[in-house]
Amino acid sequence: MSYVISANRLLSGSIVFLAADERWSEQFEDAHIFSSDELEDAHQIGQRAEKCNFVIGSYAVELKAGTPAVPKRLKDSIRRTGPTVGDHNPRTLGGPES
Amino acid sequence: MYTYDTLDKALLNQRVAEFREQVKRRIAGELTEDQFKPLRLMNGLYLQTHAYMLRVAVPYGTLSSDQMRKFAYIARTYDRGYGHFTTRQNIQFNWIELGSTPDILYDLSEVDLHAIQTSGNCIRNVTADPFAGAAADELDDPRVWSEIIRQWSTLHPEFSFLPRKFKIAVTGADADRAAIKFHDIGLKIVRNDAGDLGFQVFVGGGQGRTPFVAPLIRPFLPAKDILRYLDAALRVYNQHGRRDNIYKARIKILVDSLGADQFSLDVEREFEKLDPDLLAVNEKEVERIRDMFALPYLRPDTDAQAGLEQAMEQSNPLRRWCETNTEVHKVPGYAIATVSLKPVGGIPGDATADQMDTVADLADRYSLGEIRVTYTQNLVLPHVRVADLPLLWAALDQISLATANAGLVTDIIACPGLDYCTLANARSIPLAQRISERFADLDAQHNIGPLDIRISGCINACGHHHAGHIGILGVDKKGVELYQLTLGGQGNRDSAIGKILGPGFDEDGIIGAVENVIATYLNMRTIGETFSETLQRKGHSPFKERLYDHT
Ligand code: SF4
Repeated sequence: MSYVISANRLLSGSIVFLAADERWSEQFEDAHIFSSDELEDAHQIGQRAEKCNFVIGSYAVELKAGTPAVPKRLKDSIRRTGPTVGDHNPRTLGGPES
Repeated sequence: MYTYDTLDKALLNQRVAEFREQVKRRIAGELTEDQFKPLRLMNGLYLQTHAYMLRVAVPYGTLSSDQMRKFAYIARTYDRGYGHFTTRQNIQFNWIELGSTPDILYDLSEVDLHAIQTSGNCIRNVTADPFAGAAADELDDPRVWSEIIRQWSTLHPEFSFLPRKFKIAVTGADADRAAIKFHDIGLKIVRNDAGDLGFQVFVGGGQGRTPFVAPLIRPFLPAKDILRYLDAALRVYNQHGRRDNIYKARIKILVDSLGADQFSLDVEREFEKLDPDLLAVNEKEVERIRDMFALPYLRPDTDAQAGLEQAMEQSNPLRRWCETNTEVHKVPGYAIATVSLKPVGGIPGDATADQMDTVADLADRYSLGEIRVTYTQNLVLPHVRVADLPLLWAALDQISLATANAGLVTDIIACPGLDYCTLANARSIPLAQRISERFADLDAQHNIGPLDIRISGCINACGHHHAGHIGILGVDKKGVELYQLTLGGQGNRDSAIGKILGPGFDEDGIIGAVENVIATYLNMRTIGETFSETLQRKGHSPFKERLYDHT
C-alpha cells in the first residue's frame, strides 16, 4: 500500500501535502509517495513539522492502487479538491472569491 | 433589542485581548497545539476539513440589522464572501485564518457578538423560538428568560467543565418552534391556575447516537426560581454525569439511567439546599431586559389583509410565498416573514455577504431592524406590515431569497457533512441539493404539503435527522457513503424520534427512496391529510414494502 502525508498549515489552516525535501505543498501532485515500510519515517517528518509549528494534524492518506496516485477515501479526495458543493477551490484560501 | 451593558462589553474586550495574546504565543511557538487547542475551541475556532472554522453565537436567534451587516463584513473581509447558518442558531465561517481571528472577534464585539461558549463542555448559546416577541400564540417573550440564562451561564465557573456540552432552549408558545424536547434542558413558559408565570422543565432530550425526547421533570417552576433550579439540575449532572465514556456523558444518559422520577427527586433535593434568595431572579432586572425587548407601539391595521388579497390576485408567486412563508403576528396588520435560505439546488443555510447586507437593509425598512435565525437554517423578519409584504417579497426575489418553501419538502435541514466537517461519514449537502432539484416544482411541493426532510452526515445528528418526518443519516460502509432512512420524527410540540426503515442506500438509491416514500404517501393520503398524519394512520409498513419488496 502507498501513502502521502497530509496536514493543515498552522497559520492559514490550508491543506498541505508532504513533498520531497520535507517541504509542504498545497499541490497534491507534489506529494511524496511513501510505501508501507517508509510510513513510520514519514510520520516522524510530519511530527517534526508539527513541533516546529509549520503544520498541525499530520496524518497518512491511503492511496488507491495504481497510477496516477489518488486518495482511497472520499474524505481525502475532498481535502484534495475542495468541497464537492459550491464554487470553492482549496488553494485560493486567503481572500474572497473573485 | 437587548444591548450589552458595560460589564458585558468589558468582558468581551478582555476576552478578545486574551485570545489575541494566546494566538500570538501559539504563532511564536510558545504554546503547542495540544496546549492551544482547548483555548481556541473556547473561542469558537475549530480546525475543519479545509481550514479553520469560526462559530459565532446568535444569542437566542435574535440579530439586529447592524449585527447582520457585521456578519456580511466578516464574510467579505476574512472569508470567502459567505456564511453558513446552523441548526443551533449560530453562524459558521468556513475559511478563516488563525492570525485573523482576534481581529474578527474584535469586530464582532463592536456589535455585542462573540464566539464564547460555542464549543466545549459548557452551557452553549441558549436558543429560543425564532418568532419570539412577535408570535400571536406566545405567552411571554422567551428572549427575556434566555438573556437571564445567558448572563448566569456565561463563564459560570462551576459549569465550564461539565461531562459534555449542554444545550438549553426556551419557548414561550404552545407550538414548539425551538425543538425544546431535543435539548439537554427545554423550558416552556406556562401559567399555573393562579395565573403565575413559570416554566415546564424538560430534561434529558437530545439526538446523536442515543436519541431521547426529554421527559417532563417539573410541571411548574415559578419563574423567579429558574436559575436556582437550573443550578440544581446542572449540579446533579456535574456530580453524576459519566465522564469515563464520551458516548454516555450527556445528561440524557443520566436521566435515562436514573429514570425521570429519580432524577427529578435528586434535583429537588439539590434545589432545596440552595439559598432561594441568592439565586432568585431579580424582578427589576427582568423588567429592564423586558423593556429592551419590548415592541414599540404598532398601530393595528385590520384593513391590510384586504389590500394583500388584491395584490395576491395579481400574482400567484406572491400568494404562494405568503401562504407558506408568513405567519400571524400578535398585532393585527403585521406578519412574521420567513426568508428561505433554501433556494432550489442551493446549500441549506448559506447566505452570501451581499444577501446578508440586503436582508439587513430590508429589516431596517420593513421589520424594525430585527432579524431572527431559525434552527431550521432560515432567517425571519419578525415585524412586517402586511401592507408591505408584496414589496418585501419583490425585494427578496431580487436576491434569490423569496423561495416559497418554508416547511415544505425543499426546506431541507442539512449539516455541513463530509464537504466541511472532519467528523463526517458522508456528504449531506449534495443530497439536499439533489432532493430540492427533484422537487423544485412549486405546484408539486404545495401539493405534497408540510414535510420536513433532515440530513446528517454522521450520528452526531447536527442535521436533526432523528426529528425529520423523513430523516437521512450518512454512514460509512467500508469507505463508501451509505444513507439510512428514518421515518416519523417530529421536532415540534409532539416531538418524536424517527424509526429506521431498513437497510441503507447509496447516493442515487436514497434519492429514489425519498421519491418512493413521497409517492407512497400521495397514493395513500386522504383529502387534506399531511405526510405525518398518513404515516401515523398507516404505519411504516406500506413505505417499507414499497422500498424493499422489489429490491
Ligand atoms: S452531524 Fe456529523 S457530519 Fe454533520 S456537522 Fe455534525 S458532526 Fe459533522
